[in-house]
Amino acid sequence: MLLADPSAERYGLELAQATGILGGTLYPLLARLEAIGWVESRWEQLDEHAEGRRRRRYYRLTAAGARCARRLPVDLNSSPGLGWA
Amino acid sequence: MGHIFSFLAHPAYDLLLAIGAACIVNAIDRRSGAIGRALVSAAAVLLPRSQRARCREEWLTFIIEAGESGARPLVHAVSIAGWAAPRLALLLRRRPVTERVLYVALVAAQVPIFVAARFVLAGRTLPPRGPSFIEPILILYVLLGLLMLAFSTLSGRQSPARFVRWYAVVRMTQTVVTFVSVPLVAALWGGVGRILGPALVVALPVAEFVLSKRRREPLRAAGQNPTQ
Repeated sequence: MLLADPSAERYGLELAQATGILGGTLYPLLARLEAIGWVESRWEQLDEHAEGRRRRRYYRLTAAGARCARRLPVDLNSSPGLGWA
Repeated sequence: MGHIFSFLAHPAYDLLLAIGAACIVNAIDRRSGAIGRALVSAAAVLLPRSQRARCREEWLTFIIEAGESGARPLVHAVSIAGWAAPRLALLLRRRPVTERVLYVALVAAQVPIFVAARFVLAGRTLPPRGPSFIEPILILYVLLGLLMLAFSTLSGRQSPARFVRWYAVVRMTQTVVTFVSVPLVAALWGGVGRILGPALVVALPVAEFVLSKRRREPLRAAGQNPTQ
């Protein structure tokens, strides 16, 4: 999903809904990808009181992550639940 | 015993059970968002202190956006509390094995070196009544090395800032002790040891320093306040 538009930023629930995986699988996966430099994240700049919602943490692929992810086999690339997460 | 539990066989009990179960499911269903928030908030305690606030805030946002009622927030919360939190607790505390092995070898190497130095100093080169402060210095040096190793091993359970502070104190003390002992070893250790001894004594702390710098950078990065 991140690979579809590497420059786009996605937040946790959006990723979970799009890939069909639970939060419990998603966060260790994101932490691993972030640790190896495939994904970077940032807090949303937001006035929570004005917007009426909590700020989100956004994730996006790094250039290295996008490059490496494109080299993954297609079946692994489209698999929602990566076993090693 | 049979008469005490005879109410279990009463038809009214089945009805009560069904009503009770429905009430509980209904209550959970209506409050699943709040239950989910409590679950992920409690689960964040498992994480290292440096990452706790960030993950708690992120997970709370996740559960709030997942909804206030119904199964969805609760299912996500149970998966986060039951799987993500313990998994991340291990993942975030784990350090590269190679670095740990090198570090243990480095500190462990100090023990035989200084035990040998002690025998050389006390048994061969030194007169029977050598300087009385050499032995305490060597013991202190080895103990500091072991202390550093203990801090290094336990650092996963400490906040990065605290670890770096303690590590810096131990390193400075050990370096001072090293540079006090260098001229002593150089002056008193004969033969090849006159060159190798001081070289080792200087090389080990330098190598440690390089390793400690490598370790401190990710710790500092992890210690940054993610909310800023």
